[in-house]
Amino acid sequence: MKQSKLFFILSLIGILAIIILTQNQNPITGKITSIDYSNNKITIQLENHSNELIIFTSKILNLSINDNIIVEGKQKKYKNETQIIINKIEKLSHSPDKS
Amino acid sequence: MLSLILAMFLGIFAGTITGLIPGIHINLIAIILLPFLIAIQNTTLAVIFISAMAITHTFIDFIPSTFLGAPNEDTALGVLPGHKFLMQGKGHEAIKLTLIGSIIAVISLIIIIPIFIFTVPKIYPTISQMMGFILIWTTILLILNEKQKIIPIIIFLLAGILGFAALNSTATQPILPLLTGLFGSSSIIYSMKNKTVIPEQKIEKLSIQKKEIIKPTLTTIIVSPICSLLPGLGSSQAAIISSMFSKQNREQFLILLGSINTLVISISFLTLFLIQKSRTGTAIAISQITQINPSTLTTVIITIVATSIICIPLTISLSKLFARNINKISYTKISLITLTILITITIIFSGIFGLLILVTSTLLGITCIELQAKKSFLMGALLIPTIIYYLP
Repeated sequence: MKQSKLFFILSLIGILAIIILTQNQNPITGKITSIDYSNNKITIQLENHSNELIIFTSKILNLSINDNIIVEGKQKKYKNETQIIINKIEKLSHSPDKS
Repeated sequence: MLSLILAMFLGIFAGTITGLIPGIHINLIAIILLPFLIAIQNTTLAVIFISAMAITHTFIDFIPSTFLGAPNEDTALGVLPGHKFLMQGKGHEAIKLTLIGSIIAVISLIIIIPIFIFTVPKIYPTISQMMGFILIWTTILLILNEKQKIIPIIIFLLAGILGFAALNSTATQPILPLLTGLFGSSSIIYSMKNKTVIPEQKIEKLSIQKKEIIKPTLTTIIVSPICSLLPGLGSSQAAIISSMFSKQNREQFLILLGSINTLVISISFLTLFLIQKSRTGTAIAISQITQINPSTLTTVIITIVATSIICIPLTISLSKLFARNINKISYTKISLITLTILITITIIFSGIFGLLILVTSTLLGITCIELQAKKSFLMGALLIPTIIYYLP
């Protein structure tokens, strides 16, 4: 087999492996305790999660406090604080406020 | 005053180290050092350190990319421009040409600043809305410039898929293994595989006429500001696009490459001040340390000029050192040591997943060289994710 073909096939296998492993990331679930809209950015805080969840968008999301959500994202350091930059977000349900 | 000078010299030292290690990007070092720089609580010292480090890196980083990882002449299409000079015993000449470019960049910066301050805040909102389409058009231009189009398209798309997957993976600092593999380790492994023999390097006076410098200077002044607003576009792509509009010989191309490399970093500090956005990690690091204002910007510009003055003899000395010794030391040994450093750095900063990205991007980089496509198409790894981000 020509060497270029071999390297090409191995590259494809590597790319596929990265894609498959990326798809199997553990999502984060939790109840929203705060949601802040600022310039092109939405910051969400979850009840059971210490890191801030960030979405870079200027859209208004159909989310409110006490909504249960599931997110997939990536950890990033900003000003020495760990944040999760959200790739995918989905609303699971809305928990009524107990108070 | 002494502490300010010390900060600059420490920045120059750090930039020299990062510049000499192939694959290490200045953005990574800026991110790693950020917690320490915040901790010293002296923003001026931190700003001087980062800007000195960034500028030094742009002067020095052509040395390893020219002297290391040279493939044999059969793959002339895929090699980096400096390698052609190296294989003719003119590696030092290539470095001096990029150095001329870097000096032009610093002088051009003084001309560009007032124009930029006046125009960028007005045009950026429009550019930002059209960014995805501008980048697509830029890519089409790059492909149209090729005689053989299918292979560059395949390489560009594969690099894009790899980049998109890597950037969305759990690996920390995924850009490090991605770019290291595509541009660093792939060239090194390929040159080892082909048992490249580096000819004796000549250290001669540069024979370039002053009028030959005018063309790349003008091109730099026009192209670099545009390039500094377009994320995902490297200095090589910017140089290729510019040479499509204004034909440059290979000496002029290296000058252009050096000038765009330095000017894009310099302008990134300016864009941060003007539109609070920047395409370089070093400028972003500064934004996380302090609010960039006219005083910070002045400090950065003075540091850029002072650092450049020191970097001229420093780059020449280091280049001479490489040129005199590159054919005396076993090229395979140097390559093996460099590869070990790159793998270690990847594992430390990006973990095991990072290693998978490094291996895959290295394989794709080798495929690109084997298929004789220009390595600049591998920048699809950053361009495609950027295009996807900016498209409405």
